[in-house]
Amino acid sequence: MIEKEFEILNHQGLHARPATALVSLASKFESDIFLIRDDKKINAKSILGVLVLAAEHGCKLKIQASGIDEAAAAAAIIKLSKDHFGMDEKD
Amino acid sequence: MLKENEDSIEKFHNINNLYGIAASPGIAIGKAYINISKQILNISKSKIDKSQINNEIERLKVAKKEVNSELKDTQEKISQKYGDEYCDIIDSQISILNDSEIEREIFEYVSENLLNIEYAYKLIISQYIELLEDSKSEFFRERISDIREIKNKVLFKLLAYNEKSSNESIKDEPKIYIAKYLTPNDIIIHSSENIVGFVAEEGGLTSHVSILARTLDIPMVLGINKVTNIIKSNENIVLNANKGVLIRNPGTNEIKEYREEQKKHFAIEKIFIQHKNDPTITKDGKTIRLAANINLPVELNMVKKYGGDGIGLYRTEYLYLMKNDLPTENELFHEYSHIVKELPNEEIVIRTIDLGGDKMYLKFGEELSKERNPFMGYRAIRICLDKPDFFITQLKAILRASHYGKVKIMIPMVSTIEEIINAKKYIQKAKDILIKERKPFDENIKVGILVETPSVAFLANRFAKEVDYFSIGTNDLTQYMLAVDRGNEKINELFCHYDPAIIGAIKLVIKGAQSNNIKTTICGEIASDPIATILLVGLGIDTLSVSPIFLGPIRTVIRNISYKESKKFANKILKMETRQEIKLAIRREFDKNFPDWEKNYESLLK
Repeated sequence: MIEKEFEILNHQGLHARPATALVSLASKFESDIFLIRDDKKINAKSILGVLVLAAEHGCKLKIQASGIDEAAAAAAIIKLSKDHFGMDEKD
Repeated sequence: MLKENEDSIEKFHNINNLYGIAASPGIAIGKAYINISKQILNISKSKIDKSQINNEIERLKVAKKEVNSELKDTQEKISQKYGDEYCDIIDSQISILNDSEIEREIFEYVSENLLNIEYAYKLIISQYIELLEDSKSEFFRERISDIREIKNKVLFKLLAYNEKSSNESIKDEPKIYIAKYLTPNDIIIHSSENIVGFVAEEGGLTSHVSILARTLDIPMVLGINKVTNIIKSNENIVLNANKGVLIRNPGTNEIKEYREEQKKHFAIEKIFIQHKNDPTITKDGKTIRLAANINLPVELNMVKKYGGDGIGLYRTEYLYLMKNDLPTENELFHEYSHIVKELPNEEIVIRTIDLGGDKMYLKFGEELSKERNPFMGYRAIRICLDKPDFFITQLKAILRASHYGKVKIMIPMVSTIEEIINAKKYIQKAKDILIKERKPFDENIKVGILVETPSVAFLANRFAKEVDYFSIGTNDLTQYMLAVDRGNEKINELFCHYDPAIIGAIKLVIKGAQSNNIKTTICGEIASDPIATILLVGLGIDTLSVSPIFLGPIRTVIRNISYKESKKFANKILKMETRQEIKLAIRREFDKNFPDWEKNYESLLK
């Protein structure tokens, strides 16, 4: 199992569109992937789960991945978060 | 206590007419459709046999598939009626519906506990809703309504295996949508289906939903207390939104009468369409420009249908409100240039964003801080000047659209000269960036302000020196001048455009503009009221900008009055002391000029 942390850079937080991007990326991996915020732990392959995190701008989330491609999965998610989840945003 | 409450509702129940606020005129005849998430669903918990597991799972799959195809249908209808820009609303519902991880969780629960699928589905989705309800962020809490709607849609499908659900059975008939409160999304989604009227418990005359309903020409009545408890799904009702009444159990004759009224309404519409190109000139030769207020590109069809001198107020908030995310410069440019290209020879006045802080915090992803006085708080130009990047994004989009026609910029909620100076600096900055980016725009774009604060009205003569035109927003001006919250139903009576102070302020603004050789428009509610037209023309207004459905009536009035007489009348009004006196005089003057109006156009009189 691997654990990594990342920060939400999107101005509007992990909202519908970025959350969808996250879920479709996570779903490409074999590993079980969970996201943890405080006492909430949800499945990263579930859009409902990701929305429930209510992750706003600047909040930190922990990735917990376990499976054959766990390292690649965590790395890919962190890369996507740095990329503002593919949203066309300007600072 | 609760019992007592129920009794009083029951008593109210027997009264056939329920009264509210006429928010968007028209007549709707149909069956009541109670907002699905309002309905109480009786989900029982029952044991199943191991052999039934697969069957239960299959049932959920079928139900979700059906909901999915319904959502796709709705999306298709929205796209046809309003354009692809608004399909986002449904996208997020579809992705929630098709969450495969949640489905797996539900199936596991059913297999382990041997319980029926309805129960499992409700239990698990509700757990997620509860988690979201715990969230401190208002923004994410908004998603709760999406999830609830999906949950109930699926449960309805599951239950429909045994019994037809109350709303579904009347799918193809015209329906009147009844809810506790309405959002712009509700209007867009449901008016693309066979919803012919809207009713809600909350909301006043000038709320965003009523403006949207009026511009889409859908009857709406707001502020009917407890209506979702009183009316039953599937009940026959008539919505007389000209008078703000919901009629229960209408008799055959009554329905016939309302159908006649509807017919008359269409006949009048035809006349207005025939005359759409008649110039708006008074009998004695004074031209009054008649423009339209719009919120959405789709309303251009109405403007073209009834004829108007361009757009006097294009409210740009809807794109911000309907999207889940902040629109980008390109998205805004696409929308604005679409409108400009549709009316390339007409003036298009684009108002920069005019939202209150409550809406915008959310979009910026900031925690909502409750303002004690939101109407006097962080809103409109105040937000724009505080968030220059955000402001410049919109300005660049407007400037780029100006290349394709005659665009003017309008700044809302100005209360000081400094705000105008600063806004102009940002406009210049946006221009400089566009020059660097080699994107074309109209270098001489005109900049005006929406006059809606007492400070601007009071010193109109000075403010006029800083801008290219004035446009009076009478709704907010009335609210600020009279210190009356226009959304507060309890003091609706106090909110009055015909107060001597408001008429005086309008005159002051026009005078200030005239002595500086700039033009004045009125784009507030009062401009769309045919009864007020004589007064406004008499006060010396240059342009009236009205809801598209009122283009016909206002044109008719302008063409049949004399400017000279109107001026005399306005001078008389300016000397009056009470609003009652003014209201009466305006009504009398109107009746004198248009004795047959009520007979001919009854359904159009507000």
